[in-house]
Amino acid sequence: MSHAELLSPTDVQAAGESISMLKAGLNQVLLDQGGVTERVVTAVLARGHVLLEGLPGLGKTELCKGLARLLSLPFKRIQFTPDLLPGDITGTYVIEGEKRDFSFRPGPLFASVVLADEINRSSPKTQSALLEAMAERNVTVLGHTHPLPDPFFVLATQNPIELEGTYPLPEAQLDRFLFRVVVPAVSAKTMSLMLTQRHRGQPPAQKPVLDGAALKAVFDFVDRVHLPVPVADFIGRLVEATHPSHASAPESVRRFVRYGASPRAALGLASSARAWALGKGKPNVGFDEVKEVAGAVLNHRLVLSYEAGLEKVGADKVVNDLLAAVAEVPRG
Amino acid sequence: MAAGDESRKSAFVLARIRRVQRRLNLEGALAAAVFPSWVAVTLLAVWRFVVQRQVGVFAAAAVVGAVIAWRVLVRKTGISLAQAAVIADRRAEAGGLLLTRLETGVGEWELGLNERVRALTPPPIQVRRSVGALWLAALFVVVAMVVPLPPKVTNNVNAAAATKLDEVMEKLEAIAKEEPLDDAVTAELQRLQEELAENAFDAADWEAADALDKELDRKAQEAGAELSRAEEAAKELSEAMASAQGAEGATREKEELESALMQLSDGQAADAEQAMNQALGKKEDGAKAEGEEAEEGEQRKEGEKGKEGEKGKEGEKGKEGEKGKEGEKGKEGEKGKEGEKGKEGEKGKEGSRSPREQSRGEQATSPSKLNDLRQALKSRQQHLQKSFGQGQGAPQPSPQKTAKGGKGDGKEKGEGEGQGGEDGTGKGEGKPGEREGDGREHASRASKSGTGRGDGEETELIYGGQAEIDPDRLAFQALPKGQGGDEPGELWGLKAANPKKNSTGHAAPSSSGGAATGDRAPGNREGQLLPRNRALIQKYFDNAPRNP
Repeated sequence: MSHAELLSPTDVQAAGESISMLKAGLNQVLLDQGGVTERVVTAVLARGHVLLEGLPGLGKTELCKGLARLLSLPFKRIQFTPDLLPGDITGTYVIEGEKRDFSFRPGPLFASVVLADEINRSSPKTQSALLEAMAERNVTVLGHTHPLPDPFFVLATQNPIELEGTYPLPEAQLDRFLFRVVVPAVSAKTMSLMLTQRHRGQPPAQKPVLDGAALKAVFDFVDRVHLPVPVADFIGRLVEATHPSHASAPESVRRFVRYGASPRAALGLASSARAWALGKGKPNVGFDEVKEVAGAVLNHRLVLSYEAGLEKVGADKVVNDLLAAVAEVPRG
Repeated sequence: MAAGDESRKSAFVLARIRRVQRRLNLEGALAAAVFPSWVAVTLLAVWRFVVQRQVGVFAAAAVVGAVIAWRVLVRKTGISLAQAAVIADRRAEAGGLLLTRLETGVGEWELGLNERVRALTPPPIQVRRSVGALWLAALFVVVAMVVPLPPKVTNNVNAAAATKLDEVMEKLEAIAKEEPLDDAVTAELQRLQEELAENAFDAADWEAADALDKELDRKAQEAGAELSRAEEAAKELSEAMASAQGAEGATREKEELESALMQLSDGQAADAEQAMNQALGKKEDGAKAEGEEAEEGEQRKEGEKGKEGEKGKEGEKGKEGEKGKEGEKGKEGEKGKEGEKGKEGEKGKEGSRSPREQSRGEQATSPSKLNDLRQALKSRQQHLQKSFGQGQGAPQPSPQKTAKGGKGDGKEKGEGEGQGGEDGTGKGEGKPGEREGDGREHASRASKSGTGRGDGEETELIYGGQAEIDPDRLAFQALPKGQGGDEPGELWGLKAANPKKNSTGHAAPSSSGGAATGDRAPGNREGQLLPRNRALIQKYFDNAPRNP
């Protein structure tokens, strides 16, 4: 997809204003978590799904609910439990009383913003029900495919410490999330603000900043952000270098990574870099935008080795080494 | 209009990008030139100092090789336009907009981009290190070309060849002292030395040097063999001279006494005592003369031997030397009279004649003294005959001495010399002067005197296959009784060792074999053992049964 004309400064400015309002609204929901809200907004602008990972009580669920309110989009919340079934989230056919005919009753997936809370507590069978919905934005029940509303976002949360009775997400499921955003702990100052400015911790009432049309316009602006060929080459070489068997892989990747990122990661890098560049007021993607979103795109797509677990090497460190090793301009 | 404007804008950006590209490529080219340059100048310097030939050609080749290597390295490390654009975008902090400009129009972003591009500063390049290395390389090659060349070092191959030629030269000089060498050998050695001097000593020259070395070794061995043969011949000659001296002295004494006796019988001696003294004096003189002759003869023989030794390869000379030992020279009586030998013989004549002339001038003595002298001479003669006539008690004569049998005047002498040869039957009579003269010349010459003395006729010696054997000498003769002549068909002494089967009637067991019983008849231990009859032996073995 290429556009003859680059985004004009006016377009970029208009998109930037919408994005700024969205960010500002989220920052009112989640105090002192600017990085988290930026990534979430970027993922939404890139039409990607976000996996929020953090300790309980950090405001992940509130963030998702606030985003839905700000975008004035249909919101559904699914609390994943071990006894949850796929039909519980996708919907099922039921017999209506008077007609005595089967009719499809949509599940909670049929919403623009879906919060999959504690997603790792349900069984893999139920988790797998999200695969089609997240990748193709469709749901197939009893041979009938039902399209999901557009836009469709899945914002999932998971608790990294309560691992008993949980089912780790499979790699295929993880790959369908554009970002994995780690929600850090808040500082004392932030908690003081929460205590003084909020009633029982409830966020302030917010008005929607974007409707469906405005959001679609922003999506168009994101798509028109130009991605130069050298930057696209850089994205390709970056994803290629995540594979430990490749010659260009750095030493840390060779040691700590078992499996590298997929081409879906490259696509996610490009789209998220575009959204990130537009959020920065640029009509094109540069190397810096790619590097800034690379951590969020790649950290959950790298399958680390045992050696990484023994040496307590995380995916973020590997991604940083990767970015340092891969040159922007190939030499020779 | 718009297209032209667009191309103009693109040219502006491209010019900036190409500038960055050239600058970066300059840095890369300088860095890439360092290694090939140093390699080339180092090889050039090594070539000049080691090989010292065709430096210009090698320099050109080194330069070409360095340029090719430099081009390859520049192509591998060169900066492309896209790479230069990225670097320029980074340098201009355009955030990818410069890259976008190269791909599509940027519209309203053009002004801001141009401002950034104008402010673009070319990337800094570090060429000092590369330029310094290249200057050092140039300085190095200049110094390497200016420094005078060291003396050319002969490589190991030429050093070995020089050593080889020196060895051959030493052998050549050593052999040249012994015998003259062929000019071809000297010329070949000179040619090899020239090849070595021109540093063109190849495998063929090595083979030629080896062949020359072997040839000289062979000649050295031959010369050594000749020297050893000459030494052995000299040793044999000295031994022969020593033995001849003893026999010749006795012969001369005998001849002197006989001469004195003849003078007495002829009445030539005036006084018997004087004749005796004369004979005795002659004997002493003869002894002296013999000593002198022996010395001269030795010297002459050694001289001849020396000459013959030099002509060692010439077999004829060697044969002549052998002939000299065998008395063949005795036939050459005339030669003995001629030359120095003949002079010495004349001296001998003079030495013998002078007492005769003296005796002629003296008066005869009384008959009683003469009879006494005759008796003394006769007894002396008998004594000498006992000593020399039968030849058993006398020293064993050599073939030369055997010819002296001709000097004998009786049958007894002939029998005494019978085993030595036929000369004992000679009956010729020679002049005393000639005999004495001949006798003094040399031991081998003395053999000629056999023709000049004796009762028989003078006969010539016959050699080899020309000799005719007297058939009567080998005719069958029965052995004397008691010495095997008892039975005609049996050889005495052999019957006991190999008895016939039916001679005693008792057959000896063949398996155990018969032990020899020893001599059944007494042997001839008292008398002389006669030679065995060959015919009888042949007959015996023909009749004897053959054992398997």
